[in-house]
Amino acid sequence: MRKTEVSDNELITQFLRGNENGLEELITRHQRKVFTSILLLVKDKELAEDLFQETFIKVINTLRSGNYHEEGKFLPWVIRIGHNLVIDYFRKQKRMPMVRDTEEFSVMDSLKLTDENIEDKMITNQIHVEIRQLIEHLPLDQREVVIMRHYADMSFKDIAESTNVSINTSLGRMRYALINLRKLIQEKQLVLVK
Amino acid sequence: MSKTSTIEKLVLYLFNETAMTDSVLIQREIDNDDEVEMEFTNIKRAFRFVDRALVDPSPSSVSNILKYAARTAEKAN
Repeated sequence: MRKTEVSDNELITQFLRGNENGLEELITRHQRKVFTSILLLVKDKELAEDLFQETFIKVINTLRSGNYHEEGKFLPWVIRIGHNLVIDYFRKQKRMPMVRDTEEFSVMDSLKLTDENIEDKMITNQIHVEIRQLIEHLPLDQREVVIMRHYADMSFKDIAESTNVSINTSLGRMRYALINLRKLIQEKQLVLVK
Repeated sequence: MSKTSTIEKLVLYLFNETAMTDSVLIQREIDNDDEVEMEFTNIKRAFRFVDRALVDPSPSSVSNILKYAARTAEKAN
């Protein structure tokens, strides 16, 4: 019989009652989406690690202060915190990350990921790297909407409010993101092996 | 329905953001129009690629967070 998953709210309650396993489970459950959301915005692994930690420190402090009122929407809330920290970081730096055309990316251009001689694991890892690079090449506003809708499970209405644009603009950004992603996937001849 | 609005409607449908009546109409279009069906398949495929971009933070980052929580627990209680 399938074990029933403890809800995020129950884990939060456990944590607030002093059981730190509740927090650990919350992090384990959501770390990939939160971390990837940050990484795709800042395009720098070390910086993403720092902002990921800051995000959860803010989460811990907010939970303990009793100011968490997002029942049932823990992940979108955490991703929004991470997103705001990214914006703050770049505001302090007085710059936003630009689309980069790195050497690394050019090297990848010639890589054929379907080569049968490469081990499966290597192929999978390379695909992960390449896909992240493809998403990182999207303009920031398109990256944001993909992250918020697909990873954070925010509705287009919530995304529109969060980014101060209309729902139609959010939808339009998603449309361009999909068109651009498709183009990039075709150019790179990427295929899903699994 | 123009090409542009097709993508947007299909995205809304994929994420369950369409009204019940619209959902029925969109699903009917997917079933009966090869181009729309192909578009829907391509959108789903693109999001599968996006899922492949997911990556874990380093164990030390997670450990630092848990250490912070433990260190500050006393003050919080």
